[in-house]
Amino acid sequence: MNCEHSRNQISPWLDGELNDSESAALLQHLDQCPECREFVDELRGVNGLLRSGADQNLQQAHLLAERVITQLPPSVNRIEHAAPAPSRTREFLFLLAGLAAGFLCAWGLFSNDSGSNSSDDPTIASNETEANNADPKLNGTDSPIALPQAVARLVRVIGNVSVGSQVDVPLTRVSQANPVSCVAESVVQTGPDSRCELLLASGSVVRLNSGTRLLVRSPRQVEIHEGQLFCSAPEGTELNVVAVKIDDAMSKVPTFTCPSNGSMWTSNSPRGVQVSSASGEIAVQTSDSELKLKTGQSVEVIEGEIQPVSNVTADPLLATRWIHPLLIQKGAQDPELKSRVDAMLAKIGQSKLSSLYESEIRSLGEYCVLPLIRYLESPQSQTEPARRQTAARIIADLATTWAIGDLIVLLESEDGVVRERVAVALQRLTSENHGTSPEQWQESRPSETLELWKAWWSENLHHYPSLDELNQQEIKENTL
Amino acid sequence: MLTDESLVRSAKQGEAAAYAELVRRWSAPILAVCRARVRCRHAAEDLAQDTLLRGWESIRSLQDDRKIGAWLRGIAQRVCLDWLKRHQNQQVPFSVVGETAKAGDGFADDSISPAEQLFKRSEEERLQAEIDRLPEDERETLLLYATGDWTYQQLADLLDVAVGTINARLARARERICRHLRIVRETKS
Repeated sequence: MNCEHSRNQISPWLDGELNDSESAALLQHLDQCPECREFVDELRGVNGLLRSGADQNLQQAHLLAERVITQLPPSVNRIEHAAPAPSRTREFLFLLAGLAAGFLCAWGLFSNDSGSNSSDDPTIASNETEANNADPKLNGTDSPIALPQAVARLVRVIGNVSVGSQVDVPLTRVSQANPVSCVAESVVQTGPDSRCELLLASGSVVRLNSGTRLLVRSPRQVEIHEGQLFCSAPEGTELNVVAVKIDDAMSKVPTFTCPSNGSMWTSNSPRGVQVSSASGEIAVQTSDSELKLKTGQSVEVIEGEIQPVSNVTADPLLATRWIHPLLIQKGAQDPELKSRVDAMLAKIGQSKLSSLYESEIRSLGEYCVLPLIRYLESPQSQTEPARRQTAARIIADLATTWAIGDLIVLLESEDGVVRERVAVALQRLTSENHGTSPEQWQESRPSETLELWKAWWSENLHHYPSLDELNQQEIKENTL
Repeated sequence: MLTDESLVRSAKQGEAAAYAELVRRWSAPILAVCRARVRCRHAAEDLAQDTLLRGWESIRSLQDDRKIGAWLRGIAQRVCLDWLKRHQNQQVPFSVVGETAKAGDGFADDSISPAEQLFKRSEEERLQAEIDRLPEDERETLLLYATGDWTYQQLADLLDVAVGTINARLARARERICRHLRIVRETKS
């Protein structure tokens, strides 16, 4: 292949339009040609810019669609009926009608999602039957077509995430600002460095890592076509995950059942399918065999055969750390985030990989601070000096101003290292030390300085928004 | 799951909710078509809105229910053409709008060199201006491609051209943008 031919192939190659032999020939040329490699880098840069511009355009398009929809007739009318002037009530009805149509880009309606239990959530169907019998108030009682209802909502979006309401339609890119609902048979796809979280109508949660393609079959069944997912099922329900390759015979397709209160993660790659139980007993089923995975166990399914995992299974916490950016979006008070920080902290000192756990905690930024403060306040920390001091060191580096009140309380700690680290954090955040340096805090616990800190805090706390206030502010901004 | 075809059939019966779903599916591509035609973001929004509303009013004239996308694109082209005719004498080049104008608010100006035109703008604005400078068919194909995960075949069906044409348009458009951005970088350094 010469450079001219290569240049013609690079653009379709980046778009995934070349077949295997064409790609191989191009890669061979690129291997030997620095100029063409440079061109690939340039084109990638342009594509990146185009994608970021496209995100903005898509938000514009979503808003445009809703504006148009508010100008359509309000119910099941013949098209000869003149469109009445838009009204707030009608706009709301149409938002709901749009939801029944199954692919709702709903600003505001979904922005305060709790991400926990959807059983009282009126915006999504609770099971397949309901999905096919949408509320007549939403569709119009004399509707000639039964529009399907949403079976899942895309509640968190990071990066490039696309959704299609069926397999063979072009996918539409979505953003956190414009979360969408999905009807049965919707496709959700994540690009590179992207993540998303789906809340199914059954209450199950499915999180997708980058490069994942998922088909939402129903509130209780999803299909992973490629990539990696983490899922959990709430009390009283199960979730079936089917790992499908498009060219696979159906008989070889493995099904994993995540039990009530269980969680698991699975990856589907050309090499095979791997599944691990994070908690609960996961049922693994193929056409030939069936087995149960206990917490922490993993298996591979290759060509329909269940096999032990050839590599030593990574720790579940590290293997699923890609979900952390999604948990961070829920805020510092998220209980799942807290339990993961606690679990990672518990590994420090117990594992050869201690530094990995510490760096993983640090990678959460200020979001790890509240769980660490709660740990330092717990009786458990009194018996774990090394872990306690690690927590204090991380807090000293990462705490932000909303933690000042809690940090002042921690100055009363029995542990000199904890007091010293907390004093460092307070000095960094307030530029005050009230006459006692961090080193002095390590040596003693001067009660008069502690009183000065408390007095200072009661005078100044209104300058520093609390975590709740910051959360409220964020919700308000997102809603606007 | 409802296909475009079945939604069109329902919309033809007067079912507004069905057309609403079509609007959601097609608003981004239609906006891209308008944006490519008029090279003005704000005008494109109004024209896309006009297109989608006209689509509802005349949905029963659509012959092939599977081709709602191509049909809406046809309406968009006519709507944009009318707008361009009306605004033929009102176009303001960037050089007159001044440095404070944002990309997309005005029109690309062919009278000054790309390097001069792009020198002082941010990367994103430069890209926007470069897209505006592309030939119209390349611009439309590139902007449409950016609205979703289209395959070349799907885009070829929508635009009623061969797959090879889509390939050539996208490749040429990206190469032009690369080349111009490189000139700007080199001029700067």
